[in-house]
Amino acid sequence: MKGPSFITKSAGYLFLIIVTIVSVYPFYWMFVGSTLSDGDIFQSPPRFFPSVEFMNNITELAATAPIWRALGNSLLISVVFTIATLYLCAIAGYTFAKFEFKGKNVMFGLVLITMMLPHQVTLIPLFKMVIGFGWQNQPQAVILPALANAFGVFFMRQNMMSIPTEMIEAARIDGAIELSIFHKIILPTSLPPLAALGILSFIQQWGNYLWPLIILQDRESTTLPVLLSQLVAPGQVVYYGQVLAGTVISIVPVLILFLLLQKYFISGIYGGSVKG
Amino acid sequence: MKRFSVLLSLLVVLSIFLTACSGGKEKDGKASSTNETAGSTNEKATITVAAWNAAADALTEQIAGFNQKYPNIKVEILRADTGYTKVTPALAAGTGAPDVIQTQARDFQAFLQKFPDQFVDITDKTQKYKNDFVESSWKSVTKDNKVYALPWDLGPTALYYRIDLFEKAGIDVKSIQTWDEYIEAGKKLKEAIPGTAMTLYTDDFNLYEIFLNQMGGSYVKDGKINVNSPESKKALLLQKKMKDEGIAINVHDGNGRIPALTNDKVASVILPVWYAGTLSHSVEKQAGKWGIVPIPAFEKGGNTQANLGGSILAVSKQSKNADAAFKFIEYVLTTDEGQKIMLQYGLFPSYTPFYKSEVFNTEDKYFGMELYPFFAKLTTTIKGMEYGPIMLDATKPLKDMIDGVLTGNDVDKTMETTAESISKSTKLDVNK
Repeated sequence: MKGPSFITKSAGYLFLIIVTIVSVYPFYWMFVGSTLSDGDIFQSPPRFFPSVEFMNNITELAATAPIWRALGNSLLISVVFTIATLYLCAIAGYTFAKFEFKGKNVMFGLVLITMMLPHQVTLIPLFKMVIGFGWQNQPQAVILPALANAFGVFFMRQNMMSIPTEMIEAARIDGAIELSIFHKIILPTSLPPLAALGILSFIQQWGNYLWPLIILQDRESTTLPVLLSQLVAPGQVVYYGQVLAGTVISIVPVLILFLLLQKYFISGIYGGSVKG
Repeated sequence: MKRFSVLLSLLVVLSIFLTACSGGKEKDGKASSTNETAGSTNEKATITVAAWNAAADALTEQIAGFNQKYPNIKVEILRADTGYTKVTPALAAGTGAPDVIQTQARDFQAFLQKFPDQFVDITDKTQKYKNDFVESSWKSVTKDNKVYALPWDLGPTALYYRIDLFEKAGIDVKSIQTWDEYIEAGKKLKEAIPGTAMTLYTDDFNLYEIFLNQMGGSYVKDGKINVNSPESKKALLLQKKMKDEGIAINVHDGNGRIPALTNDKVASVILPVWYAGTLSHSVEKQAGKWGIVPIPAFEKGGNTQANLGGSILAVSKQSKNADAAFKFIEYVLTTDEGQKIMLQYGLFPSYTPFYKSEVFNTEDKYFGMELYPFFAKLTTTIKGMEYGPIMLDATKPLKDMIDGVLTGNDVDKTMETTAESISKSTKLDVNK
């Protein structure tokens, strides 16, 4: 069979190039904007090359808002959340995938039901509960409630179903205890889905807005997206350079994580789709 | 066997739910009982205040001055969002709310309606300030003759215009007395300077509200939805005319204004005092090119004042130190020291004794005039507006109404359907 003709091929590339420009340009604009002073950001035609105001914007932003503190809070919350989520979802997903026990289907059903509940329904009860624990302004108020979430458990279960049971049995015959089977065999073979879930969890927590806004009330405990959103309010002066510089900082960790785990990410997402 | 386990798990879930609920109630009970006994300011007290953006910055700067007067009251400023996502769960749950809450003036009646018994009645304490605030500002903080908040800032509105562009087009700003003349001048400007429009509008109901307030109209009248009033129709038709004549361009939102202004796409804006700060910061290079005059009237000699925006400070009933909380809002809103800091952050006071102070009367470098005294003169005939308890639910219907009329839908019909849809979500009757 012959490959696609030159024309189809170049049309495809052209389309992809256009889509790339459309999706990359806003980020590029943000980056350039963060290096300009406020008066220059909206000049028409738009500036194409970065200028030198980035550090200036950041310094001014840091003087009015605790941006580094917020960055630290966001990193702490997202990293702890992601690691804990990965471990808990993996172990729960493994249990649902490879063990037979009484009430398994009911329990799995219950887990899935929590996925159907809209977030808003649980907001007020959750708020009361967390305030009751005295956790307002504490990172665990954001980390704990969403741990071992239904999607993660479901996602890991679907992926782990495809691990050959014979492998586990062989380990058992060799005398391995269950926990070390999980740690030494299951976790290493599940790297792609773990990477995918890790990126998803990290991004989700990194961009989490509603719950941190509500429960992290003082400025010292706040996270980066919440802090950035508070730089803009109707009827008040917006310091666009500072906002853009802050936003640039906020996407760097996600960018790094994604670039590091990219090759796992794609295979992990598709992993569960073969054997569902 | 299978059915049994389903039942069992359901029971477990239910019991968890129930214990969670009952636990919450007990806590509330305790909280409200301590509420009544505490409150003396001689004791040490800590209060929390929720406000947004520059308003929160201003309040943070107030703490030092406040603590000189009241060293025992510790103040913490919480950063809220303008959509009230932060404070709403606490008000709904009856626990965890800050002691002092900022809302927009137009939203406060909706708060009083949605969260009855969540705000402290401060009628007695504010009686002595009755004449110290711009009269129209009391309307949104009063319900059934009881005062539940202190008015903070105001948004007296003016016409900001580009002196150089008006000159270039041969327009004398003094000749613009009515909106009709404004539109005519706009056409002239468009011909003289292609690519520059007279003014701009955004995808909200700001312009509509300015027109409505200018005519003395209101969203709610005598407790009934009033968006189908004759004033409402006039306001809608005026904005439609501006759009149809091509003298007003749509820039979608506040961010869209800046590029339009930077690149000389518009020659004037109809906006409140709070926009002066944005102009002098975001289009710094146009310093000296902007003049300010009162907005045109609907008919010659008519009212040229209108308000848009402004916020209030209220004390939450959940507060264990309600007296201390009131002391704080009293200090920041009814003293010259307090209002001086507010003004630095561009918050135009509704507290009028401050208008006599020195800081208030200094010249603004960007505009080359005494900015605030000019706007103070534009607060005298502002009409108090009845927002009613609808503003938290009416945002989308109002936007849709304006959008519908601008795209050419029948005005009367659109107003009717808007009134109905607001009525559905707020259970308020429609004024017939």
